[in-house]
This record gives sequence, C-alpha cells and structure tokens, in this order.
Amino acid sequence: MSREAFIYIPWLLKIAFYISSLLSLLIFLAGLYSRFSIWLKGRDEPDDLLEGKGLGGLLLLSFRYFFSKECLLARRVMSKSRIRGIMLIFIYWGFTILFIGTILVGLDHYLRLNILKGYIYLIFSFILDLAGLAVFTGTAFFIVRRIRLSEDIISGWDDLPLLVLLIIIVLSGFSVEGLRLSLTDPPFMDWSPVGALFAALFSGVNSPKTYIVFWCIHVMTALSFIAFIPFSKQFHMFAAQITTKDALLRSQRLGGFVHD
Amino acid sequence: MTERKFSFSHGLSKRQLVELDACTRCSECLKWCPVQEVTGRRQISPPEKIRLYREFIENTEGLKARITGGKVDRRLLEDFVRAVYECTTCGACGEACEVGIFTQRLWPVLRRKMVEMGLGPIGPQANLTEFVKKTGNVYNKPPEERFSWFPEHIKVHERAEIGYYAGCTGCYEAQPMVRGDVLALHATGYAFTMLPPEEEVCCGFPLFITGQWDMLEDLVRRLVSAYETRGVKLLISSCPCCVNIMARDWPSLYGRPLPFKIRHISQFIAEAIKEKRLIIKDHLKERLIYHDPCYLSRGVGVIEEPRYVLKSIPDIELIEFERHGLYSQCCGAGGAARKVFHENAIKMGRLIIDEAVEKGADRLILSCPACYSKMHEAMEGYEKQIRITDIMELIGSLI
Ligand code: SF4
Ligand code: SF4
Repeated sequence: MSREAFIYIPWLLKIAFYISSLLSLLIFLAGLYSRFSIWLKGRDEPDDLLEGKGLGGLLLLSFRYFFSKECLLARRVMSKSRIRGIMLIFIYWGFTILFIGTILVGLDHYLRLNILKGYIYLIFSFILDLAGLAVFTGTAFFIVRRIRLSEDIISGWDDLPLLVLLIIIVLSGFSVEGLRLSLTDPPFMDWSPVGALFAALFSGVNSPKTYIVFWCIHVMTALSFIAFIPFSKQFHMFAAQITTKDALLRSQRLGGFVHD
Repeated sequence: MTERKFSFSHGLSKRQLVELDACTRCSECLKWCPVQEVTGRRQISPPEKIRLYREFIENTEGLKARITGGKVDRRLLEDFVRAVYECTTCGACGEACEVGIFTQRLWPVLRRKMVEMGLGPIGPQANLTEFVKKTGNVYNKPPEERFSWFPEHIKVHERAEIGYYAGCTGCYEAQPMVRGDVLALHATGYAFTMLPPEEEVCCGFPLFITGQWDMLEDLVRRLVSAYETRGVKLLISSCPCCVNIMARDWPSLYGRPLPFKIRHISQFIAEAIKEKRLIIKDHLKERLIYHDPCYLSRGVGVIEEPRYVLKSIPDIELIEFERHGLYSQCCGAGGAARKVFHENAIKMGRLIIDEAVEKGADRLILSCPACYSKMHEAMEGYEKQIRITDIMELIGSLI
C-alpha cells in the first residue's frame, strides 16, 4: 500500500504545476517580506517581546509562538467561547497537519524515501483524512457564522472569499482522493473514511478526466490561497500568536504598575 | 488625496504594527464597545478602525504603494479621525479581543498620528495644550481656585514621604471627591504633602490621550522634580487617568525610573484599614454598587482594593454590575470624548444608571473624577435616579 504521485497527470500539467507553485511561492514570499518590513519600521519598546528583533527574529518569534501552548490549545479564544475555540483548533490543527502531510508526500516522492507505505501509509492517510474533515468543519462553521451574523460583524472584502477558498480546497482535495480511490480501488480503503465516501459519490463518473479536473481545481485554489495569505486578513496567522502571547505577558505585568 | 511622504507606521511600536495585522475581524469586541452600543456606528468598531489604518499603511508603504502611487483617500481619513476620537479609549475591546490587541494603548497612538497629520484633535480638545500652558490645567480655570475645596482644618506638610496629587478634573469638576480624599488621608494619621496650586499642573493625561504629546516631557519633569524636592516617596492620586499615566508613562517621559512609587488612593486606604490605622466606625445600611473606572481596572489592575475599602464599612451590602473588574463598562467619560461627543457620553452614563437602578442599588459608587462629573450630568433630567457618591467622599463622611 502506497501512493503514486501525479497519477493520471499528463506531463504538460505537471510542468504547469511546477511553474504555478513557483509563482505562488514567489508572490507569497514577496508579500511576506513586505509585511514584515512594515513591522520592522516599528519603534522598540522596553521589555517588549519584540524588542530588538530583526527580520529573522520576528519570523522566528512568529514560528515559535505558532506552536506555543496558547496557540495549540487556542486558549484565549477558548476562554471567550468554547465553540469558537474548538472550531479554531479544528482549522489550526487540520491545516497544520495537512501542510506537514503535503511536505512529507513531497519529500517521499522527490527524495525517493519510500517511507509512506504499508501501515505507515494507512495511518498517514487516516490522519490526513481527519485533518481535512476538521478544516472542513471549522471553515463551514465560520462561513455560516459570517453569513448569519453579517449584520453584527465587520467583514472586509477578503473575509468570506478566504473562507470559501479554503472550503473549496478541502472539498476538491477530498474529491481528488475519492476519485483516485474509486479509480484504483486499493485495499484498506476504510483507512480513508472521507475519501471512501467521496469515492462512493463519484462511482458513476470516475474517469481519469474528472480526476484531472478536480486535481486542477485543488492545485489552483491551494496555490492561490498561499499567494493570497500576505495580502489578506489571513496574514493574521503570522501575527495573532505574537499579540496573544503579548497579551498574556501584559496581564501578568498589570499588577506591577502600582502594586510593586 | 494625501501625498505619500507622511508615514503612517512611523511612531508606532513593533507590537502595534503586529497588532494591526493580527485582527481577524471576528468582531467579538463589538458587543463590548459602549460607543457602538449607543451609536450603532460600525466605523467606530475596533476591526474597522484597524482595517482602515492598516489600509493607510499598505497604500502608502506596502507593496500596494508601488502600484497606487502611495495615496490615501482623504474622505476615508476623515472618517477614521472621527472614529478614533469618538472612541472613549476605554479598552474593553482589548480585554475582549480574541487575539489580545492592546487597544487602550493603540487608540491614543493612532490619535497622535492624526495630530501629526493636522487632522486631530477635534473640537474643544484642540485648546487643551493652550489651556495647560496658560493655567496649568485643562479647564482653563484660575490656578488659585484649584484647591478652593480643601478642608481648612487639615494641615499639609511642607515635606513628607507621602505626596497627594489632586488632579485637574477632581479640583474643578469633582470637588466632593478630592475633599473626601484629603479627609480619608488625614484620618490615616500619615503626614502628607501637596504642591502649591500653581505648581500642581496637569499630569499630562488629557494631552496624551488626545494625541498632543509636545508638552508631556516638560510637565512630567516639573512635577517629578517638585515632588522629589519635597521628599516624596509615595505619590497618591484618586484619578485613575492620572495614576495611569504616572505609573505607565511618566518613567519613560522622565527618562529614568521615578524617585517615588505611585498608588491609587483606594490602595492606600485599603492598606490603612488593614493596618487598623483607619477605622470606619459609622454604619451604613445600604446596598452599594461599585463601578470600576476603565483606567483603574483595565489600566493598572486596581480592582480588589476599592471593594475591600467598601466592604470595611459596617452593614453595607456590595453588589456588582454584570460587567465589572477587567470587563467593566465605560460610563462614557473616557478618552476626552465626553466634551466633544456629549450625547454619546450621556447615553453611556445612563446605561450604567439603568443597571444600577435595576439591580436595586441605593447608591452608585464611583472612583474617578471624570466618571463623577459625567454621571452627575447623565442623571440631570433623567427619569431614573440614584445617589452617586465617590468612594472617598463616602469614606470621608463615615470617619
Ligand atoms: S476602547 Fe472602548 S469605546 Fe473605544 S472602540 Fe474599544 S470598546 Fe469601543
Ligand atoms: S476581537 Fe480583536 S481580533 Fe476580533 S475583531 Fe475585535 S479587535 Fe479584531
């Protein structure tokens, strides 16, 4: 049991994929650099956790707090609303696992590691399936919330499109998986329960052509999303963990001003 | 259209620039915003202000600036100015914020930027610097009237380790409150000193909060050295805004640590009660409700001490607002917005009165001169009535 990368994908599409990926990455990096450069223009404040940080320091801080306990457990949001906290955890964990999973698949393929096989592959598939389901649930929740509360909440031009893009990525990802399963009919399909469900859905139309169409949708939406991150509200994924940590430290310091 | 040369990011701290990018527009803060509640104006909401300001930076300094030529729509700027000055800077949104944005600090800095652009302050706030230069206070009142409320029988020492700063708002707009401060201080038996009226100038807070920072360093230097000369080791004030700027900003404005500590009067009196230096003998069979001032609770974390003082009064029953402590609701007097957006402030004050009356309180206890002045105004001609008393005014009347 393993998975063949780029199954059914003609070489021309493969080349288009590499070019688009590079383009998306370049746009993402340019945007990231531009946003971080603006942060760097800021004044240093004494005893601030950003004090004296350069580009590398800020990136590191953002990365470090992305995996902090506060972030992993969405503590601040959880303390305000259990349901929003859980949904955020779904997206955050799901997204992170899918991201790491995609990198692993890439490494396995390009470096010919051949580790994603046998039971490891089955467990891997199962985890990724659940991660996708988690992102889907969380995103659907926030889409419904944004639409249902549209009168009471502030939305920018990018709020809903970002969420819709995210849900298309997940659904097209499941479709690609479902089509692949239904076309190849591998043993142990139960290890990809959502994929198996989509395989059943596509059972009548499971041609390689349909597969290619969904693969293209999945790739294009995912790459657009990545390029979109620094130019949209989604950039909060680099900033919110820092402000959350700062708020925690600030609340601990609050007593020190007049109680020392 | 505004030309590119103005830098919207300049002067903001790194943290504040990160904060602008951190807002997820979850809008959870909206329901905590008192201005939002009484005006329904979405432009005032934190995510909208943050979105706009982020756009100003992006349009003038980010990648977009290269495409758009670095221009900002003047109309959007004017909307922003109004929104940032209509806010009371109460900071409730920051406490509720799901990503922990320190709004109580962010809004004054953005106001400062509007002043730099020549778009702020607005209305009568524009006179504050001039008034302070002329009279030393933001009310443009004669300095010789500053201590007209002072109880004659109480002696103020020339030098003492304890200094008392009455503050402009207390002296000119909430005299029963500062009178109560002095009575309570005196009752502790500690010697205390004060500056002469012409030397006790504005602490700088109204200038700070409206973005007019030019005079701040000068004011702080004058005040700090005057207290230092009098041997002060502990400076006490009852005004949360004064305490806030003294504790948070005076050290950086002064350029080094202050030679004395800062305390809110409720802390000092709570301590004196604990040490039995102050005993409240008179009974008061009343139901009191205490309102936490934004700059005292969220500002410097003084939440328990006023309650301790009140609970020391024999026979009282202390009840709480739904929103109290760190989540207290602004009475409308904050952010120097009360004189400009008077109607909003009155409506906000009445929300507090409504709840106090609904909860069956006999008396609404305050601990801030701006709240004191505005809440009294909000009561004028209002169908719901409740007795309003400052915490030290009450203590002063019971000892
Ligand atoms: S500081 Fe207070 S008034 Fe201003 S936006 Fe926040 S909650 Fe509203
Ligand atoms: S709670 Fe914080 S993150 Fe959410 S909209 Fe308000 S300011 Fe933005």
